[in-house]
Amino acid sequence: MRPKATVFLMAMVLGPSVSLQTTAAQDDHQKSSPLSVTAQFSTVLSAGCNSGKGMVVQLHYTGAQPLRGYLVRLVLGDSLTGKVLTEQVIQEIRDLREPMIVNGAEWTRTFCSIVKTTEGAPLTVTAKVDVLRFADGSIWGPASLPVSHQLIGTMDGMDFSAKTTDLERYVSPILPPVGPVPLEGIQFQTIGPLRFVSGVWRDEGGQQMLAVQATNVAATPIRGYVFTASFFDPTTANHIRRVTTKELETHGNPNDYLLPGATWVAGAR
Amino acid sequence: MPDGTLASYTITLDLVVFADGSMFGPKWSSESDEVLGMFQGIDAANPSSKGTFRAKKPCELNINPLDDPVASIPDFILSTVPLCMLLAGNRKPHPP
Repeated sequence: MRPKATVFLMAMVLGPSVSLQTTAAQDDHQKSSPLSVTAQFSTVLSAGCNSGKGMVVQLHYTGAQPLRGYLVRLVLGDSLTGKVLTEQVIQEIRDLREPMIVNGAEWTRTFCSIVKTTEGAPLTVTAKVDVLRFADGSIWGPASLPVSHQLIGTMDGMDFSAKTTDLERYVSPILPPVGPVPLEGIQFQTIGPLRFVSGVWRDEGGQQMLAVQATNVAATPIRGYVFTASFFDPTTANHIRRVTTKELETHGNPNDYLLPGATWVAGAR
Repeated sequence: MPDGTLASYTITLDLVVFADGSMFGPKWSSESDEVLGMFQGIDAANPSSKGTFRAKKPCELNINPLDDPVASIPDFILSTVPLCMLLAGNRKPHPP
């Protein structure tokens, strides 16, 4: 799965990380959350909860920026034994055409529980905001959960049909013969349903960059794929950096999927 | 490299999503999670899409946290958590 190519790439190509969303999230998560969450376990719930037990979560947004979506992780545990009984996430998102969550908004969520609890056991609920997504596209929080990244991606995917975003341009495949194609030091490798052709491509300034194109060698159309190029020092084999590329059809049009035998070109790295 | 030589590289495939919704790859990277979310968003926003990532109730992606709380939890969460997620309408009113 990790065939090592022998083509080389100039280190000057290796600019800042392209995973902007993740970076921003990591940078900001030390600050306090503008979404405050308090949660408790209740055994006296009525409407909608057959068991009568569940978690009551109160949320209060105090941020200056309109909030478009959030994901909060809840952990229900026994405070005496420290045992975690269950984990839960709350997440909500809005379409761009809908009103955002504004400063001062308060709301409550109640989750009925089917977790068996001991009578009289001291239960505690710990709430942690994992990610907030604001109307301007910026992000707050550690985004430590895979579902947080799915949440971010879902809003991005919804936006593709509403407007042309920089992200859409970034993830949209280039159709040959347009785009950077490998011209020197060409390497071939087939990984699963994709046949990669990679090598050096020179931009207008003569700068050498890695160009990668992928051909669908399977019998089924492909909606999208993700691959990572990892760069190493050729002398020491020390890792330099990795660049992850996402390529996908962004409007749900099957005619534009990567059909069997067809090729997509990625932006040069 | 500083001396003008070129770095070596490897290519690793993390995720492939087929038209029928099946997948290939280890899905190690958070970028793959984002792409899976993008397909959900694309299919939710495009009624004509024949995509396979549409939530069972697409309207649940367009929720308002101060509206009907029953519509606040997308289906894909329901499949990932060990709790009954029926909601009670126990919420505070929106401030004016």
